[in-house]
Amino acid sequence: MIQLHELQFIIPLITICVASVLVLIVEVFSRNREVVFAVTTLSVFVALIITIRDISYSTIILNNFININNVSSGFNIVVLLSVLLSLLESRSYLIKKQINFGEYYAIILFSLIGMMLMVMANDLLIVFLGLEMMSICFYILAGFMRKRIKSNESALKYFLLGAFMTGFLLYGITLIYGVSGTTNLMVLFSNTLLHQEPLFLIGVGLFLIGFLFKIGAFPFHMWVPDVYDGAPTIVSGFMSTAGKIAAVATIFPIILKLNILDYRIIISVVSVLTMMFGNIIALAQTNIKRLLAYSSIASAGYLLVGLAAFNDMALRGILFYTLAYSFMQLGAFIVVGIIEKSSSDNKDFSNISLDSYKGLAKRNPVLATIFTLFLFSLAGIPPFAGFWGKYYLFVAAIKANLIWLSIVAILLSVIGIYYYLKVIVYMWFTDPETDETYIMSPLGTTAIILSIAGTIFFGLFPEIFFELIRFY
Amino acid sequence: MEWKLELILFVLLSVMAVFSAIMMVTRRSPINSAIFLIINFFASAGIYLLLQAQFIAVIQVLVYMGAIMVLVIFVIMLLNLQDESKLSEQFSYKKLTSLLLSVLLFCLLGFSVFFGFSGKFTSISGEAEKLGTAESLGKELVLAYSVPFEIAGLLLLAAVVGAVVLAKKSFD
Amino acid sequence: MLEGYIPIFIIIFISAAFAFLNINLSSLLGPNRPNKEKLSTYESGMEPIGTAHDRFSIKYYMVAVSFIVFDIEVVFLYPWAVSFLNFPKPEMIYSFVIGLIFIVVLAVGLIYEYKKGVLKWD
Repeated sequence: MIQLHELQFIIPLITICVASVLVLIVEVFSRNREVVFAVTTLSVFVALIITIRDISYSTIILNNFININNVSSGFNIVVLLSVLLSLLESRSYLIKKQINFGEYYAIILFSLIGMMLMVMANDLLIVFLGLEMMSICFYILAGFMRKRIKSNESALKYFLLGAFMTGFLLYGITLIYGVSGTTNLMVLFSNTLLHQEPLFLIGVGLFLIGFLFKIGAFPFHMWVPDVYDGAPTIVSGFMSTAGKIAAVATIFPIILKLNILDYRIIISVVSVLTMMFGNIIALAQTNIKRLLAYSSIASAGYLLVGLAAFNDMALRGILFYTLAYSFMQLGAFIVVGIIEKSSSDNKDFSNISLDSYKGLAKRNPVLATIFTLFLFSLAGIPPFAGFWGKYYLFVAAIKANLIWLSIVAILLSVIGIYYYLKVIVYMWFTDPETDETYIMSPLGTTAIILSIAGTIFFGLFPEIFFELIRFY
Repeated sequence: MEWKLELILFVLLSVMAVFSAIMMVTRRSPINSAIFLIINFFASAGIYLLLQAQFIAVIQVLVYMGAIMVLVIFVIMLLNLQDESKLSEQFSYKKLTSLLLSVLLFCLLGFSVFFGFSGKFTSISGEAEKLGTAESLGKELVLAYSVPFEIAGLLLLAAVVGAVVLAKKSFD
Repeated sequence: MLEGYIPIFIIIFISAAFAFLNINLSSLLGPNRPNKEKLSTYESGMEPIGTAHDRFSIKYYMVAVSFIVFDIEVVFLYPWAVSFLNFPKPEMIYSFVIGLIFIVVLAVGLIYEYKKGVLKWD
C-alpha cells in the first residue's frame, strides 16, 4: 500500500497529472485555448521549480516502483526544460497552421507524464508503461496536422515501426522476468550471478534494442528523418529533444548499473555506425528538417560513445550532453519553425529547404546570428554548451581505454561541422531570394532567448549544472 | 514422459496455434487471415488455461477474440485492399534477406529459451491455480501494483484523446 | 485440475457444432440443382459491381476504438471488483480510493468523447 506521505516526493508528477486532466475538462467545457495554454505552461513551470527545489531527495517509494535521486531529478529537469521551451513556441505555430486545439496541450502533458515516470522508474513495468505513454502521444503528435498527407504518413510510419519495436522491448522484459522472477531494477542490479545467464543477456539486449529505436541509433534510425520531416516542426523539436532525452535517461543508467562489459563492444560498434550514418548522410541533405534529424542521429551516436565507457565519467557526460542538446537542438527547431510559419503561401511545409535560408543574414541579422550560434553549438565549437557535452563524453571514453572510439568520434564530429557550416554559409554569404519578414511572437522570443542563454551560459560555466543537481 | 490429459491438450493446442499462425500470414485475403488469427487467439487462450492462468485466458477470449478482432476487421475494411495478390507474390532479395534474418533470430531465441528454461520448470506449483483467479489478481493489482494500475488509466485516457484527434471526421 | 472446465468445453463444443450444422444442414438435406442464373449474385435485379469488400466509413472505426478502450477498462475493473469485498477495512478503503481514481480518469475520457460529439452518429 502507498502511504500518503510518500506522495510529497512526486509533487511534480502529480501536478502534471492533474493539469492534464484539467486541460481536457477546460477544453471540452469552455474551449478557451488561452486558459488551456496557461494551465499547461504553468503546470510544467511549477513542476520544474519543484523538481529543482527537491533535488536533494533520494528515496525509493510507491511500493518500490519509483526511484528518486539526483540523477533522475537532473534528467527530469532537462526534460521539463525542453517541454517548457517547446510549449512557449507551440502556440503561435499552431495558430498559424490552424491546428490550435486544446488536445495538443493535453497530449504534450500526457507524454510528459510518461517521460517523467520512465526516468524515475525502479521497475521494468513502469519503464514499459511510461515508454508506451510517451510513444502513443508521439504518434498522435506526429499526425497532428490532420489534413496534411505528409503528417499522416509520418504518424503512420512512426506508429507501425514503433509498435513493432515495442514488441522487442516487451519480449526482452519477458525474458528478464522469466530468468530472474522479478521486474524490480534494484534486485536486477544487485544480483550479479544473474548477469552471467545467457537468457538474461539476450533479454537485456532485446530491451536495449527497443530503446535504441526510440533514441534513433543505427540500425534502427530509418524512421527519424521521415518522421521529423513530416511532423509539425515544433513537434519534431519536441520529439527530438524531450523524447530522446527521456529514452536516454531511462536506458543509459540501467545499462551503466548493470555493468555488463560484454555489451561494450556492441555499443561501441553501434555508436560508430550511428555517428557515421548521421554525419555522412546529413552532408547530402537539402531540407533543413531532415538535416537536423540526421544531426540528432549523430547526437545519439555521441551519447552512445559515453555509454560504451561504463565508468563514472559516462553518466556525467550523458547528463551534460542532454542538457546542452535540449537547448541547442530545440533552439534550432524553433528558428526553423519561425522561418517556416512566415512563409507567404500556407502550403505543405514550405520554407524548409536550405534555399529559403539564403541571405537570411541580410534580411534578419538577429535570427541569422541566433541560428548560427545554435549550429555552432551543435557542431561542438567552443565555448558553447555542445562542446562541453562532447568533451565530457569523449573524455569518459578515453578514461575507459577506448581511445580508438574517441578518435573515431572526434573525426566524425569534424565531418559534421561541414554541414552545419554549409547552412551558415547559405545564411551569411549568399544573396536573398525572397524578402519575407519574420514575425516572432513574444513567447517564441522568450523561448529563443532562454535557449540561447542556456547554450552560452552552460558553455561558459559547465560545472554549474553539476552543482545544481549535486552530482560530483 | 507420460501422456497425461494436459500434455495431449497442450500438443493439440500448440499445433493448432502454430498452424493457424502460418495460415494467417500466408492467406491472400485479409479477412481469411483475420479468421485464422481468431483461431490462433483461441488456441493461446487454451494454453493459458493449461498454465493455470484462468483470468488471462478469459481476457484473451473476451478482449482479443472479441474487441481486438472487431478492430482488425474494421481496419481491413477501412484500408480497402484491392490488389492483395500484388503484395505477396513479388520476389525480391530484400524479402529473402529479411526471411533469412528472421529465421536466424528465431533460431537464436528458440535455442536460448529452450536451453535456458529446460529442466527448470517441470511442474506447476499447487498454488498456481489459486493465483490465476481474478480475485487474487485483483488483490495484487490493488495493493501491490496500484501505481501501474493508475498509470494504465491515464494511458487509456491518452489513447481515447488520441483516437478522437486522429480519426474524428469533423474536428473542433 | 482441468475437470472443472469440462462443462465449458461441452458448451463450446455444442455451440460450435450447432453453428456448423445449421449452416451446412440445408445444403446437405435440400435438393441441389444449380444452373448459371441461380449461381449468379442476386442484387435486386442489378448487375453486381465491384467486390464485396466495401470501404467502411471511419465512423465505425471511432466506435470500435472507444469500445476497445472501455473494454480494457473493464478488464482492469473486474479483478478489482471481485477482490473488493474480501479485504479487511483499511485495505477496503484504500482499494476503493484507488478504483475511484481510475474510474474518474476514464470518466473524463467518456465526458470528453461525449462533448466532442464522438458518440453522435451525424
